[in-house]
Amino acid sequence: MLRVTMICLAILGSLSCHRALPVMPVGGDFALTDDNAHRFELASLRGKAVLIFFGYTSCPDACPTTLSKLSSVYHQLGSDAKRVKTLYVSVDPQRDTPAVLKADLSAFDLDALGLTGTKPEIDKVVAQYGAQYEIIPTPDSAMKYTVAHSTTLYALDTAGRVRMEFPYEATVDQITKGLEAVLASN
Amino acid sequence: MIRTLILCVAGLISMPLAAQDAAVVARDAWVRLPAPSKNDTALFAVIENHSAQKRKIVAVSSAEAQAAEMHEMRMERMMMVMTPVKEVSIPAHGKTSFNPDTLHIMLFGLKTRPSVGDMIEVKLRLDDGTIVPVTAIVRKK
Repeated sequence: MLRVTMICLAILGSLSCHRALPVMPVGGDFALTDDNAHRFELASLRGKAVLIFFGYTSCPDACPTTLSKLSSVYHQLGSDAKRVKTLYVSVDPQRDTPAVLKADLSAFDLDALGLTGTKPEIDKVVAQYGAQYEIIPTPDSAMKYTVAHSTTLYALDTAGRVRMEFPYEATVDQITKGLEAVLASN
Repeated sequence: MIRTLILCVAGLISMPLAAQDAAVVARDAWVRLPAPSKNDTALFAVIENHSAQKRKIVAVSSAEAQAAEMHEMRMERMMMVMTPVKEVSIPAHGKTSFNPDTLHIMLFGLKTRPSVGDMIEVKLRLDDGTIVPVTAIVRKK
């Protein structure tokens, strides 16, 4: 409840005073494997705002919904879109190989990089950002297992600090305005 | 001959009337275009029950997929959780919506890869044995 309140206050506050955006107590640099199977370090994106969310490509609903929403955000950002990078961190490394991440992200119109890694590597990043996930066996389903996962979207400033967290219900307009505030923040 | 003709005409007239009289119907059905690496996807629709009895969907199937299941989405312990469900109720004189973030019909192993604008046929089996046909259009979102 406190966290949701903080998120709402952060969104509301950003609409009136860009410089007052708090630095959230989560986040930090990390290293994973990108969808070109190369080593990726978050620090390489200094100078750009970054959006991070956690999901998996076999997710038929929440994850493609978020990606569609972010495609619309990029469209609304206009010339600022080139200043934003989206990172889609898979919490299903067993199925989400770099090639799978690359193929599935190509269906969306945004500057996004898929990230995967070993379970310990992914768990470390999940913990850094206060996210959660859980593998749920579904032996009676053709899916065999599903992955429950948190749906928060994290917005990092150009110095790599988390400045906003958007709930799953955040609209395209709210995310766009929030990102503009992050881009303008000190 | 005349009797056969009368029976044929009666049959043709009754067909659209029968469709209008169906107690449970599906509308606004659409399928999300599968991700490039996948042969699985989700179908969404509104299922209306025009009868005075609550009905349940107890099975789904499609000749165009190797398997079909109903799934429920819900937020639990701050996480989005997807769970297969065996049945979905449709209230009497009401409707149940299979929408993103609530319910969907998962189609596994599509036998041919669809394109935007294609139609996919699915059947819902109700608890009273009725089969409800669903024709869904493939959309990007």
